[in-house]
Amino acid sequence: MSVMIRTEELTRTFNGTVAVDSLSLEVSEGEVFGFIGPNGAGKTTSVRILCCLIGPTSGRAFIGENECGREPDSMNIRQMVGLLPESPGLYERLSAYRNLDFYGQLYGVKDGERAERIKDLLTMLKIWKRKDEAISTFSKGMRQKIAIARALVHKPRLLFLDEPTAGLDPEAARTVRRFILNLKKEGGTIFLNTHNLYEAERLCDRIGVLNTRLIAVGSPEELARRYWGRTTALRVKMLTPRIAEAVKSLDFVVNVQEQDGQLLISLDDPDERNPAIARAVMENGGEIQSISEFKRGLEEVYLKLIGGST
Amino acid sequence: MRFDKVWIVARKDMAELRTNKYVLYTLVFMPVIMAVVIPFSFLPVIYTGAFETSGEQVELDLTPSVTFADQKINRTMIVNAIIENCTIRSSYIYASRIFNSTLLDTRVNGSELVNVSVADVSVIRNSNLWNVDVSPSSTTVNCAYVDEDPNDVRIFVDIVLNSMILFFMMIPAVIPTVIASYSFVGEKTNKSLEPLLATPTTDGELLVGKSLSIFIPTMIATFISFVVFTIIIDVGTYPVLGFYPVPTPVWVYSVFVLGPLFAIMSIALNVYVSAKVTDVRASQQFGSLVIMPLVLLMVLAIMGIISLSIGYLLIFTLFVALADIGIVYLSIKTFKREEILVRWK
Repeated sequence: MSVMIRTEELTRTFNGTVAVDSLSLEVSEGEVFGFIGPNGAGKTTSVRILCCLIGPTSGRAFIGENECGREPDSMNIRQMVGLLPESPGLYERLSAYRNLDFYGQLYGVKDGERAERIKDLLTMLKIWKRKDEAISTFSKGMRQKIAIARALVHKPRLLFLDEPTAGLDPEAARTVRRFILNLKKEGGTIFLNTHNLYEAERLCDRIGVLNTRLIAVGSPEELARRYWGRTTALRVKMLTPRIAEAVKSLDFVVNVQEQDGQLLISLDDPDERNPAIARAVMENGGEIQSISEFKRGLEEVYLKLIGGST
Repeated sequence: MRFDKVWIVARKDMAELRTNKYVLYTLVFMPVIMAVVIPFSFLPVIYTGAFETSGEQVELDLTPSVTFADQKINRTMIVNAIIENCTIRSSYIYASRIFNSTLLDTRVNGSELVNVSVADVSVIRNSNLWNVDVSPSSTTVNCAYVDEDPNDVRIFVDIVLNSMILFFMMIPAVIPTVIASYSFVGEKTNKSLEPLLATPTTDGELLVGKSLSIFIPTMIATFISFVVFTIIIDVGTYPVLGFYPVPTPVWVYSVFVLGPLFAIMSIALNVYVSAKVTDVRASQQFGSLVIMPLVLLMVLAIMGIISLSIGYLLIFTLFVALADIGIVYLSIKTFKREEILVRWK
């Protein structure tokens, strides 16, 4: 699969303050990549550089074969990407249709094709019936949908979504997430900035944890494994200190935590070692109710990484 | 620059402005005041005879006994004199003959003036005038222009109507401050600039497109106002004057040359101001500074330092054009993607 986004030591400073520090990254075509990180981590700045809205202080960034900040490459990049910024930024006095039509024209989408595309998008987002109403009459969730449609009106090869569900109610957020999942199924390349770790875990093939510098990159599972190891969850009928001590004393066990009446046992190779754990529990009078792999969430990885980096 | 992109941006902005009641009020009320209210408030003055319309010579009782020649006369009352080649300031002259002289801030009554220049808030009453040049700040009352230039035309056209052009120029100078504040600052506060900047357009195309959306309605309002003003004045004054006093060359020049230059200045100034302010009202307040050159011109004309002739207007145009170049340069430097996203407040 070809590389869609490539950055080499990309750095951006504002009046001496580093916003993005030596970012080197590759995102493949068809991949959904997510940036997570605290406020001021440089997520939006990175997206702005990649969309050719601002230039880098040093380093280089490429979208396909085009280099960001270099003409006419920047114009080509703007033509091939769609951007949903943090704020929808729609024209409040104009109708939903007119908003999309304007952007369709600017992106050079031909008349008939544009009308069809707008109809498809608004129908898909269930707003077609209200296409002629001014944006000022729309709810926040509907505005966000229109803003997403705007970013897609020219069928971009790469879509940048900056906090797509921020400030939305759960139902609207779910609709937006479903829409992004559909885009993912269609094979679109998506670059997502989010604070919502559940969303990142659900939508992204790979995630980058950014705090000015790129701290880690990988799939949610890889990140969990890399920073927490693998964990076995063991539930016994009567959990006694003796059982816990017996498990802890096994030489391959890295760490044991007691949580909600179960033991969370960190170890390298659960498939190989779980029988030995089971034996140790039974030899110490324990009755095993369940033994399974415990999956660490992205939140734990994030807190461990960001906590360690700040 | 791709004009199709420019026009797409301009059309969108104009569509948006059409739904903005504040912009519409400005586009309607300002021309109505300038093109309808002012002429209608002026017409009764003509019909009630406050402005003389007669070219008949006045009967004078002149028996000059003293002669002043090649003098500078200041704060003096002169009666029954012949005055030649003098500069007279802040004086009162009665029943005299004045030749080849200049009158400044001076009152004249019951006299004859030949080859005289009258300026600096002077007033000439009940006199016969031969080749007398009266500046806009000065007035003649019940005088007879004995040369071929009719008295009523001089007063009505050269002074009154040409002075009105300065008020009229408010239309292209002020309307853009209102529209531009919504077009630039409004777009900034609405946060709709970022997605717009992400489109495959150049900074120049966006700037020109947005500027055109302000320039076009402004100039349409100016031209329509000019036509309406001309019709009202011509139809209203023809029965008294016997001819159509507007458009004069000064008016045509001002509307078609100075007007667009003022509109450009106003738009460019607002682009520059947009980077510094965070709300529409502040933008309008700063943008209205554009009327300062107009005020300066008015003051100069009222003080009699300049007259509103094509010659002076050409010089004034040069200054406005130079100011335009400077402000447009600043606005181009201001309206860049990087500047907008990083440095605009």
